[in-house]
Amino acid sequence: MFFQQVVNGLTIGSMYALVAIGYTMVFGVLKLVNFSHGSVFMVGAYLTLELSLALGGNFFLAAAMSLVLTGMLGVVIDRAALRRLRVKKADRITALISTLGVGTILDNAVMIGFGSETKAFPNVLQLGRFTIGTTVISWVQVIILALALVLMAIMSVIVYRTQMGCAMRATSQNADAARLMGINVNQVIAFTFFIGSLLASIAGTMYGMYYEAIDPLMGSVISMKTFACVVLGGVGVLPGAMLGGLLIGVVEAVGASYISSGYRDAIAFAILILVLVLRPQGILGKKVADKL
Amino acid sequence: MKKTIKLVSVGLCLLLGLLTGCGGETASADTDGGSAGGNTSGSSSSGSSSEDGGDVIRIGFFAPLTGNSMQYGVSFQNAINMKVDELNQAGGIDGKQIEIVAFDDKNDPKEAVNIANKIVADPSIQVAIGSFSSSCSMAAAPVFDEAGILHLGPTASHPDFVNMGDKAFTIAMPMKFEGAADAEYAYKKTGGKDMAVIYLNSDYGVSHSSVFKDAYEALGGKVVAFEEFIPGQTKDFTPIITKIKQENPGALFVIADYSDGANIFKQAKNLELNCDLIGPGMLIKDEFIDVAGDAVDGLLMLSTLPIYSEEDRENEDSAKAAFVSEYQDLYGVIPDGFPANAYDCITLITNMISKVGYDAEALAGEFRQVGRYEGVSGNIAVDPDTKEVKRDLMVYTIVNGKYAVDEIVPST
Repeated sequence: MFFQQVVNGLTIGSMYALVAIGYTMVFGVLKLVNFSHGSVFMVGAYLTLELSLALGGNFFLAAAMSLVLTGMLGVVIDRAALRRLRVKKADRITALISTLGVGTILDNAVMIGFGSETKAFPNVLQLGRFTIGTTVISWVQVIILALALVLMAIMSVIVYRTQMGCAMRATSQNADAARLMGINVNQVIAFTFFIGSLLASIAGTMYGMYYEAIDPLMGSVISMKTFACVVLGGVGVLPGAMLGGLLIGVVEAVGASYISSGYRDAIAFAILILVLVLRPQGILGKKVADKL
Repeated sequence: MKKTIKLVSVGLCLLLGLLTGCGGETASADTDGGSAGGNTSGSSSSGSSSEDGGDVIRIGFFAPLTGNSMQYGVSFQNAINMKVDELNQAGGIDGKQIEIVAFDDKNDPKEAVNIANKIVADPSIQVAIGSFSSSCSMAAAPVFDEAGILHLGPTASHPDFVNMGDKAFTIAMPMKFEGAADAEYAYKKTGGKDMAVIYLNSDYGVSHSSVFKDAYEALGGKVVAFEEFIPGQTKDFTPIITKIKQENPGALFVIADYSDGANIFKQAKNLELNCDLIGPGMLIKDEFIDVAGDAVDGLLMLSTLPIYSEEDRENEDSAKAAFVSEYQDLYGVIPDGFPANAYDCITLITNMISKVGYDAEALAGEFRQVGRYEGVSGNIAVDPDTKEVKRDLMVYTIVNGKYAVDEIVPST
């Protein structure tokens, strides 16, 4: 049973990691806790589903369109709800509340538009499953974990090996200084939101395919967990988001089976608190100066 | 630059206004779907007051009309509006029109208490119908009890609900009967196989599962796994299912709403947990089968609420058929047991009002004397002393993605 629980936990964890990678991009650059990320994740899944229905079942085209549209939604969120606050030099807490508002608007808009009931989601990856001993593993689980790793690698390349990544890191360290060096900070932030939301759409689509169902509250369910994963792994550190996600997933699964299924979130968050008490910057985090 | 920002913020404000405006009345844009939901005619109004209490009968109604459980609340509202419109068109009760004062509790018990306070503040309201969940109904019940208002919960099946006031009534079978009836039937049907139970940690889930477990064990069966989960925390139940699989159960009973229930059964299939599957009536929703797919083929469903089919429309001479066809014509979908329950509530209450007048005290006395009532949602038997309700147990099996009637076990 232990190995099955580890497999379960790794799957739950890679799902968290998929969402957390997008989340930590924005977190890293803006030092902003973006509570609308969960809702964007949900919108991404809905866009994929509704577009694929509208296109008569052309799932991959729908998923591709959803990626771009959700990415654009991220840019719009930044433009409409956050840029003005940056110009006004508002507190970070104001921006945080603003993202909470955006999340609520998105959740309710989807509920009004598509209804609050859970919708079946097509699983186009009917790849079956295999057994090792008594442990059942499905190929979709393997793909999710692999995808999370690949995306983490791609994002690391973007952040550490490209000019845009360099601009992102500069903006993250000091936006004013970056502006003085001729970096178009607003453009960098818009790009970050685009990438972050695009990743959210990938995560939403994968989530839909794995669970074969989506509902308007799937974002708020996962949002707190993702936040915990990012903090646990180290804010703004991409492998940290991955590690935090997998760790919380496994702890949750093992805790649920050996301690109590009713306390699975409590166990996950207790681990989070414990780690943060011992290592406030997170497992892979560097020294932090000022975080919200 | 500034102009565009202003434009955007004005746009956002408008959007916000639109969203909140949509909250109450037009929240029917879901599967139960007619746009006719909240405002079929003048009959429903969110708190719009007609000061003259003399020639209208104002009945309070609260249910989740937005949020995660809105499909249930909206279907309640649809059924109630249907009945009220029909009565009003026929001239009302003793020449008085009926007005439903509707509130949205978002399936949030805190909100239900606020609404209850609003309802009791209106002296012209003598009867309140609501809410969907036991949790909301029970949160509101003390407020109504203190104000002496008759509170009728269409689906409040928690065993404590009817004891929360002498004018607290329900037409749902309390869990202590339903859980026991479920256990008895499951024991008989599976031949006393080892049972695993997964239940949601809510007032409903805890009472249903504990009664079921006690009754199943009293019959000599074994409950080998008894696992809870907290609703809204996760969609991934594989840790629980893996733990259960370890115990090799012969049957799995899942007490959850349709969405979590569908996920549990699907994940159980993916983890190759092969055993009999049993579920409560709460799972009965078309979406349940849509989401769960072939993972629930052969699932045994133990319900106190009926499932209607196209054939129920055909049977011209029954009240059920009239209800089903009228509902389908108005709202475009075949109703399920939930709106049927709400329909029975409003029918019972309006019948009593025309008999004894609009007074909570007299209506409560009358309600105790209902005895056996044949409603569109099935047989309802009200115990005059305890106010507890007994109903028939309806057993369905899912065959090829459709609910099929197995048998109906009459209440004792």
